[in-house]
Amino acid sequence: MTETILDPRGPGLMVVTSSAPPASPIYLAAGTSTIWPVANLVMYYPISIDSPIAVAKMGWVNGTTVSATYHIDAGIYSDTPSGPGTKLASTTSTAQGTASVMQTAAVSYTLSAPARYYLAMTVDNILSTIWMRAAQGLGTCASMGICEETTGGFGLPSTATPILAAHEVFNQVIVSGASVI
Amino acid sequence: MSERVLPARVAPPAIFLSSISPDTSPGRELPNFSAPTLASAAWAATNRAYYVPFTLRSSVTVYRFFWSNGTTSATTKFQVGVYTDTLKAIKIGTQTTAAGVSAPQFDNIADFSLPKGRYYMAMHGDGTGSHIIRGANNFFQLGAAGLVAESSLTSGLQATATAVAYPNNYLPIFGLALRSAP
Repeated sequence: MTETILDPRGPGLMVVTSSAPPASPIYLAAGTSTIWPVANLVMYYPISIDSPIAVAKMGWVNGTTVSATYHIDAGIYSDTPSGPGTKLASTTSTAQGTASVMQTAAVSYTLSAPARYYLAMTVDNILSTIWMRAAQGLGTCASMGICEETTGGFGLPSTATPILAAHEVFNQVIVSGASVI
Repeated sequence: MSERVLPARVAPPAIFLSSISPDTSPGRELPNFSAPTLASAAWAATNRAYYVPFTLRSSVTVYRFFWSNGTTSATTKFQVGVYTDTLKAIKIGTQTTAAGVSAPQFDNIADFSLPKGRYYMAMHGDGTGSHIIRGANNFFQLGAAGLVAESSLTSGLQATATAVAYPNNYLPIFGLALRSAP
């Protein structure tokens, strides 16, 4: 006998970003090209998904100043009662590409659901620009549960050691179940 | 062949379930209006409490309460709690003097579980010296989103709230932390 299991909600979204609900950036200023504030700073953004995603790509939106000598690493971390935990997948070190467009890199990992994860991103310098919502200096990222870490070197750590975000860095880290985006 | 319908999958709520998270009424309603930029402002009235409706579609563990301190820290004591949809207290935190600026402050209450359901999160301030990060949405928009308030609470949040219509253009940022740290 073949059994078909139905989810009355149907499938969830194929592309999820760090700015999607349950993030609440509704009060932040509009996005603009902004330098990464500290070299090797890692930002962790909580996300929630209701359906599994077979991640094919991760990405971000470049700002107006880019260079192939600048490097970015974007990844996915598990959720623990103490914040981001273990690195599940990442783009690894990726040279920054074209200005003012979305940049993606291949990632292969399946996110089970429903569940919460953290999307992470780090940049190896403070000249590189990323498209971000404007900083307000009011702890608004911290009040959304966003975390950060300075590891002392470039790259996403295998295990996060987060603190509550002290920097107002709200950018759009992208996970895509579609291979073309 | 048979078919079996499973319960709908539900994404977990925001890890810091705040008064502007999508799980709350203002988080859903205010993007449809002209949402103002957040700013630091003095607590609106001595011994006033604000109640913000929210919905949980799955059970959660609440580890801490929090509020977002503004740019001026004085001697005001703040308090956060959770109420049923009939405004009966489920958990009331400790009245705590504001400390620090432009960052969240936490009240590390004993962990407790909240099953799926409809609730209010509540915040009380006993004075107007300290600042909170808040939206200055029109009070009628906040009222239309289901927010209510209560005044003259000289002893802080009570076991039963006696709420009235929303009185002013003031939406403080506060809520429930669904993780223990950071």
